[in-house]
Amino acid sequence: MLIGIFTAAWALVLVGTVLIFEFIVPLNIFHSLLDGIVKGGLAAILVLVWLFLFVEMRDFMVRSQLRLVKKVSA
Amino acid sequence: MMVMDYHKEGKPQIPRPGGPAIIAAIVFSELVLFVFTGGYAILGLAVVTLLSGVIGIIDDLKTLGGVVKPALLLIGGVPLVALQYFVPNAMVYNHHLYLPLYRIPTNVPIIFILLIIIAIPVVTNTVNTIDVLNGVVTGTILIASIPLGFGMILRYLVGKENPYAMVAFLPFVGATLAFYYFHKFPSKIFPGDSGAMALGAAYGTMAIIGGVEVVAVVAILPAIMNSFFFLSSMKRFVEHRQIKSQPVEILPDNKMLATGDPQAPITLMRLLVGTKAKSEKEIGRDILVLTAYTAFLACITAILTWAVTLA
Repeated sequence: MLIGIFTAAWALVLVGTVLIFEFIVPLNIFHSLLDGIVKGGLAAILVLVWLFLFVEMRDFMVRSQLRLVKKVSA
Repeated sequence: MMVMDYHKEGKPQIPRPGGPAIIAAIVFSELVLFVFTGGYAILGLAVVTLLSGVIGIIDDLKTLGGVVKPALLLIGGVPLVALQYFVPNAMVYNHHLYLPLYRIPTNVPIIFILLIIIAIPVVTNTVNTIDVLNGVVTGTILIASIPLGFGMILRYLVGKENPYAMVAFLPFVGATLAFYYFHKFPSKIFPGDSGAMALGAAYGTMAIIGGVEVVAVVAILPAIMNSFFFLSSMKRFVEHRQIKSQPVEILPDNKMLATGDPQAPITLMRLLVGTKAKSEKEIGRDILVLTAYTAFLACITAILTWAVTLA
């Protein structure tokens, strides 16, 4: 189970790197300062998506790994 | 000082901290190498390890708060930046960031400075949080060092290596290996915050001067995830000694089992003993197996980084 989570985290690092540096960094839509703002905004959205996915993974781990503990305690 | 080893029969007293020995081993050996080679990357590793280690010694003697410690550690990365920019031709690090699956090295000199200032305290603290059981922190650093060395060799093959980083790598691994011999289960000595923080700072610095930053991050994913689980469940920086609800309980047979307390922090160790009680040795082995797996992923990351560059 944990190995799956670590593999997913690794995949997120790779996918994020490719998304940022292959697609977001080379963006030149307006050829002005606006490009920097768009890139910053897209990167910020990506970071939020990352955090959301990591929190979801954590919650999934907690649900699946700690559920039985309550039964044992009870 | 002697502290109790809570997870063992009879709760034996173990000397702590062994950090000064780790700090002395890394700093003195790196300084000797610096004298002979003149490589400022080596000096940078020695200074960063010393600074972070001293903060760790203060933490061992007088527990620092959950906010004060990371704040103090922010000075850890300053010597690297200072050497790079104030010593002519120091070549402490290369601010071209090489990334997996991306052909062009990213030239980010300003961002790289911020990255160093933030990365050193983050890695130092992250490694410190994995110091939970006998042999875990030293074993984690040792295993995570394998992809670091592998990445530096691949960099060497593409002609982008920092030769001083490869030289600095050997005393770092040697000191960690020597301490692991005494720290492995059953521990004869604990590193304390000073030892764990010195190792974390040295590891982070090795990643920066060796130019294998992404590889290093992937290699210590178990420690990073442990920190993330902890911070995201506690929702604030908190010193582990101040936690009221413990994540695991010690059973009469000295095995550990996760508590059902929703207020307790989520940690890697708690998840490992969520469904089955395990002994300290078993949990330590599980964490090191996970680190071995992420070290394998880090080696793949190194190949994806340098093979693409070669292509």
